[in-house]
Amino acid sequence: MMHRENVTSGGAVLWLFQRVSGVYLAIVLFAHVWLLHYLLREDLTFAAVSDRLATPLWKTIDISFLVVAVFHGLYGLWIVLEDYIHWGWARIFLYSAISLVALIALALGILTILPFQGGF
Amino acid sequence: MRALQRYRIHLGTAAWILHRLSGLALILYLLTHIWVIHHLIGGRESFDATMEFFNNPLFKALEIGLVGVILYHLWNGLRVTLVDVGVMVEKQKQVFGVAVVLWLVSWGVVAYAMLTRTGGLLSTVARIGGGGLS
Repeated sequence: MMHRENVTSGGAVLWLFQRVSGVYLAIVLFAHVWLLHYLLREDLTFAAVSDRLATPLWKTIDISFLVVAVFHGLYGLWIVLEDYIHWGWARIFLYSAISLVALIALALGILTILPFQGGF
Repeated sequence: MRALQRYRIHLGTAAWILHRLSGLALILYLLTHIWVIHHLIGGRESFDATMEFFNNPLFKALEIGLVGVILYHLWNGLRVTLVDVGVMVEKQKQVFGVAVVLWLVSWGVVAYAMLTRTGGLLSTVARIGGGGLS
């Protein structure tokens, strides 16, 4: 394998992280869907979500959810693409593109959650 | 036995392909979801106008499909993790069966909630139907 790639999937630590993050996402996602589609018995409006989102506890949960989900998703995408893209320059390009998308998604998500006060 | 073995390989391969396809779909959803929810930054009017766009039977139905995709990826991912850490590897086939059952049951429960709750698919259809009659 070493002969064909400059950028690789990162080995055992990331492999383990993908499993652990998957289990974490399973738990948080279950709570997320249950809360927003079962317990919340109204339309998903600003008024319905803003009280919860304005609390430090939910900011912490949602930001950890965001970071883990983006990493799990885009690292998973990289693992899939790695199976089909074998040229060094194409790998470097894709790796950069995926990293850029991850950074934009994280920035957008954190900017939404962190300063949110609600009520306006 | 040979036929059974081939069947097992087919099943595992199908599960693996579906895991990748569901994962790709979920990345697209996740990025779209982050984009949609970022309208909270614009305050009440911006967020409610955005959410109103999705407040119709088409998106409510798609949402129920999305939950099915998520739950497939979730249960199959947990199954793969069990195999990876060496738990119940000799009972892989039964574990796969349990994962499929859990997938369908959990999808059914959440789908029922999303159909029947206030603002769910059925009440959205009724609201639009009522609007057409009045």
